[in-house]
Amino acid sequence: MNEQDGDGRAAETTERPLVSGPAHLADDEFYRALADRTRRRLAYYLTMQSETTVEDSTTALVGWDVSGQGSMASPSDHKEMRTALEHVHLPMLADAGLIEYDPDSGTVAAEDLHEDVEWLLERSITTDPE
Amino acid sequence: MFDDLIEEARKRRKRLAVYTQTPEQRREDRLRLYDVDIEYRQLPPAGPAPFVAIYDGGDFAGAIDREGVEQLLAPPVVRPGSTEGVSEGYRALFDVLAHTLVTTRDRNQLLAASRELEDRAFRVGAGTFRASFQRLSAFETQVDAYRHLASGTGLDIHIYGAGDWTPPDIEGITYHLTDDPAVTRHWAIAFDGGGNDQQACGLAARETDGEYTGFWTYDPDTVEEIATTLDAVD
Repeated sequence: MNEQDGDGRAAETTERPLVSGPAHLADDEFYRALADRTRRRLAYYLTMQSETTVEDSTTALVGWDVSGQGSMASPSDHKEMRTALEHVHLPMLADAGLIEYDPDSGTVAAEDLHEDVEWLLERSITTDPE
Repeated sequence: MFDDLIEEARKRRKRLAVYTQTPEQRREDRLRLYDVDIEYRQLPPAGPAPFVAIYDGGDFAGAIDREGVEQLLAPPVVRPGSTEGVSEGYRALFDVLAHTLVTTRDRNQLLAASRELEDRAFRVGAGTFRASFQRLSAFETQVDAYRHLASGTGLDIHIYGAGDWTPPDIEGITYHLTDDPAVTRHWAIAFDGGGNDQQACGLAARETDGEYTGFWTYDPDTVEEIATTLDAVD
């Protein structure tokens, strides 16, 4: 698994093998959780917040969509995103152990992620063509 | 009275959430020109370019690129009927910020807002359009735009102001010379929508020592109050 780096990162991971690193990186559920741009963006956004809400997470994602565009995210875009977060994305990220999500209080927080996981998240964002 | 309307707008505060990598720049944020509550959210380093979300009474009203907001703060002033240089997001933001008080020393900001309303009247093409320019000399730079507005439409246009300049006769435009402080201290616009309430729009701003405080609106009742106030000075 640590063979795929090939950009100078490999040397670092050799010194600190992933075997003793995050359990996430060998977990299928982790990859399923991150097999979607919205969930990658959300997980990455949350790495900067101590604790936030479903409302703020929704706004961050619809704002991300219009960032760099000349258009405006509408209340219906926001509503649609909120429904998708509540029904699909937040539970998946929580099940994969990437975030803490309390559907009753509407609070969302990143789990304390291993630096390799954070690095992977950031790389997935910076290499996204959009 | 315009001052009552301005106080009314002050009560309807909106909340802006600014998502940015550099919240430390908050102090010089030009969004502070608007009478809104502003909060800042930290974006991660590889995240999106900064954007702004607007909340109206707790409800999400819209989100737009920070650059789009800059356009509103330093707006392009275009001819009525021309959409060049004005993005769709800018128009949407303009709608969202209706009834929000803005305080500015930059006349261009109010001029751009006025142009949005003139443009709407141009597109409707009928109805009564009233504008107070404080002093008719302030209308001088607007003559071409208003000639265009009058000749391209069936609008009944009324211009109010102190008589410190003699404007040219233009078909469709009636001038009202007055020294009434309701006119000379305020920048006001009222368009009745040409029979369609949904197209009604207006603006009222008070000038104090070169600083303007005012709002624009799409609320037909408020627009009618502005129109009635202008009518009364005649």
